Amino acid sequence: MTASNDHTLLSVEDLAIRFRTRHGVVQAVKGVSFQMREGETLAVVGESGSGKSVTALALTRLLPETCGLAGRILYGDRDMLQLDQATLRAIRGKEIAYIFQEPMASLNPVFTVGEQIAEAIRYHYPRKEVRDQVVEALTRVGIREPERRYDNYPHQLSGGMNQRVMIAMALACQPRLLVADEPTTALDVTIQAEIMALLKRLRAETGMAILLITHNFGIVKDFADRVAVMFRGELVEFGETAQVLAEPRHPYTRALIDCIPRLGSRRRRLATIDHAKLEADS
Amino acid sequence: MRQHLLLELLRRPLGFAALVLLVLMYLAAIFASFLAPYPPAEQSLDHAFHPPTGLYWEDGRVWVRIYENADPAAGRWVPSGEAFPLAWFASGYPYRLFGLIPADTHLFQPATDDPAHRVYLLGSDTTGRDVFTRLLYGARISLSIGLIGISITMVMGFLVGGLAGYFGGRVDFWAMRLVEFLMAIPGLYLLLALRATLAPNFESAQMYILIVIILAAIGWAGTARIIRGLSLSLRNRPFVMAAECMGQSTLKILTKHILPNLTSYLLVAATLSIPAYILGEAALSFLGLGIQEPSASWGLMLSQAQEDMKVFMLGFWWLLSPGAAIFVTVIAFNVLGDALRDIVDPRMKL
Amino acid sequence: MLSFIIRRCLTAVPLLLAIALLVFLLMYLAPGDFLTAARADRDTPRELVAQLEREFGLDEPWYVQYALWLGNLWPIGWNENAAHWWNRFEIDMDLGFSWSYKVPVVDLLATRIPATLLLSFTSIVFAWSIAIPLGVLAAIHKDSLFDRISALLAYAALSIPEFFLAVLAVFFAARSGWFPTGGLTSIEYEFLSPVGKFLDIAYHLILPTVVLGASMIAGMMRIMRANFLDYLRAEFVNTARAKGLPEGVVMFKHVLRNAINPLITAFGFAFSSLLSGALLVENIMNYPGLGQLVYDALLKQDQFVVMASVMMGALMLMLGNLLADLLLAWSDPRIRLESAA
Repeated sequence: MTASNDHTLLSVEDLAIRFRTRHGVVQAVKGVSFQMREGETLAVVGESGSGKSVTALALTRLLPETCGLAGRILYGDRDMLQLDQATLRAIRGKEIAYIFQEPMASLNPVFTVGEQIAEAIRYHYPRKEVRDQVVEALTRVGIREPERRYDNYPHQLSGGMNQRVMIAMALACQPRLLVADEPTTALDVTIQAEIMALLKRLRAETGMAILLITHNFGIVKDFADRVAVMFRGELVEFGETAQVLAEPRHPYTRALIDCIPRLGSRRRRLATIDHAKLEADS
Repeated sequence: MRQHLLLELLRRPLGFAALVLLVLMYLAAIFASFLAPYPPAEQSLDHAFHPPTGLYWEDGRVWVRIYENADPAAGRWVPSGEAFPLAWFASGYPYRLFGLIPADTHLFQPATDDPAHRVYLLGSDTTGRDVFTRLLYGARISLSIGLIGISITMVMGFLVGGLAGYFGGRVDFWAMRLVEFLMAIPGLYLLLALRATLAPNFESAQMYILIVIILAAIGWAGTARIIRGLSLSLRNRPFVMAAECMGQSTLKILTKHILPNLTSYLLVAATLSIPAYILGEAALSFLGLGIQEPSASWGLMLSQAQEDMKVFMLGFWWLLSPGAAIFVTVIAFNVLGDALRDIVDPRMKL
Repeated sequence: MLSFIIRRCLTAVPLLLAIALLVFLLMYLAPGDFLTAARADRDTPRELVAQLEREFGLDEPWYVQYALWLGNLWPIGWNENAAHWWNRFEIDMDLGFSWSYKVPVVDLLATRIPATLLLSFTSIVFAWSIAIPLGVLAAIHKDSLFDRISALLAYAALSIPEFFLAVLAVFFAARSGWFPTGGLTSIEYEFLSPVGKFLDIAYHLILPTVVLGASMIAGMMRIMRANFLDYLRAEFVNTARAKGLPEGVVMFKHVLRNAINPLITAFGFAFSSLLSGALLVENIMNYPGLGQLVYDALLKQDQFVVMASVMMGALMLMLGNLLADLLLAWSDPRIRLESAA
């Protein structure tokens, strides 16, 4: 669970993201800064609307043109916000890969899963026969009968299996960073555990860094090295996981941690977050 | 809800303009007798294929140029240099306003008694009848067929489609089979077949009713299918299930929950379907199977216009004005329907 | 896939029977019987009329007539005299006799139906090859000048009455002399080489195809644009971009492939108006298809022809829908394959 070395993989400096909507300009992210080390796992926690997903998408500029991006995102020594499209595309999928929340919706329904994974490989390593590699990728993520599954369509697979396919697709080119945007939110609790276990195993095998976006502090504990907490577009807490969980400094973090239902606790009502109070406090 | 729709429509200038245009057209149709200078069937054989009479303003009155027939073979008329004035709100041929109140005031009439002085705003046709007048009277037919037909369609569509979607099961199954059956024969073919069977020789008034019935009979199937889909999705919404659990009677649920939610969709469907009725009636009349002489209908006028290609060869372009009228009406309904759909639910597939 | 086809064909059978019943009822309920006009025509021999009366059982009760009608409709006949057993089946459909054309209705249909099918086919190809690129472009460049102008043109094309457009086309042909004013073939058709014949027919098809395709283009383009825009917001587009694919591939491989499917569904619904439109176009542009036949027969009260044409119209529609369904099943794997358990 410790970082394998101290090289800075990603450095986000003062990132600000603006949306132009019909009702005016919305500031989704207001000056967020953090760093990720090579091979480390960083969890970004926050509720809907906190700006965490948007931050993750901004890393490779996957946001629509109507978004205004300011600040710097240094990957290695290159600023992602200044790179041209061709270089960006070379990085996407090959060095920074993504998995998303809804596995069935994230896969194209009219192509076979094998074909979609093959596509990911082919664009970075052009060659004709990649079927073996795809089958191998499917095996690595724990899909049985990978040969048969190659020719299946997403709607023929369950949610959990589709998420495994997504992971296989993301890892196909052995990226240095995997951005996982709420990968288990849409899945059953038992499948959630399986997917998290799979990610742990793959992380150990490849040594890749993982940026995990979630609103669930529960999966953060055994998984992430460090935690960043976002609230209304701002980074309100950042530190080692154990530290943050034991001694949260920001009232929002404290509220989030309190929300985790605990077995054996004598509370009769589940805790909720009082936004108005938090706004007043911060 | 209706104010909401209207307010939203104001924010969409195109849609609102379409609405205004349509209201004006319907008003023109209702007051056709008032607006038209002549009865629709009045002929003037001396003035066949007369071009639109030029108007000009002098001495505070509107004057109408008089033309003479320079070249009968080529149908060419030139201004003779003389003119006669128009009288406003003058007395003319009698009619019944709204079919009830006897009246004889018309918007404008020639201010002279000379029967050779004719004012043709849009020229005249093969027997000297005023195209403008016939256009107005034809509007009555075309526009009203749309409205009446759509009312029947909406009622039938809601009854069959709404009930099918709500009850599901066998009701749904057989209703959809019926709809499929009606949609299995191409529209115009079925129209012709029904026409062949039901009406070899009807007179105009009955013809009108028959056309409406036939068009509606074919048209309601498509609407029913759409409404069934909507009803089905509504039925599964929690508030409907809650109402059922509370023990509300089916009729109450249908009228209090389902119908109000369907209304906006019904409105959009109606607006977008009226053009089909107008075009259907026009096509039928054009083929000679719809409204017959001496009544006026836009389709009928067009079919007369294209006889012998005279309109093209000799350049009687004003005879094509019914085509423009149809075009404008249909486009207005389409634009309005689109605007309404945008307001109600932009993602609706209609 | 095969089971899908078989299932669809089987569900079509009851529908066909129902249509046959409707057509029969229309014939039966028409005033007079459908040989009235035939009897009035002096050229039609009495024996022929008598024979038709017998074949269709005109003095029998309605259910007997219906049975005879169905029997005559059934296209497969049995020929005892053929040599091998597989030659014993033959096409034998009796749809009556056209007293105005003086040939069995089946023969008449055999010459007219292919013409209408040809026109429908060329119109569809024409309309789609323009509508799809235009729709995609309009979607990609949403709210641009191109988008707005094409939307305007689409509105206009949708709103022009089809018969009016046809009349204008004929006029244009007559005035400019660039196109024939009607018909399917020229007078010299018989004397042309095969290539010449092909070109001759193509030349005659141009204007009717454009007229018939015009309103289809408008409708299909708007649907294509709407679908494309819908799918632009899909999750898998994000995934495709995240994989590093170029925009062109994302648009034209991932989005387009999905956006086309609802278009196929919409086309299935549009086929009915295609056939109706073809009827108008054929009549105005003097194109010898089924539409011209049915109108002509209607005016002459040649009832057998009218009813047979209506039947055939329904059949063509059904075939068109079936083809659209098959196309959709082939294109969208969610339709032809079962979902996961």
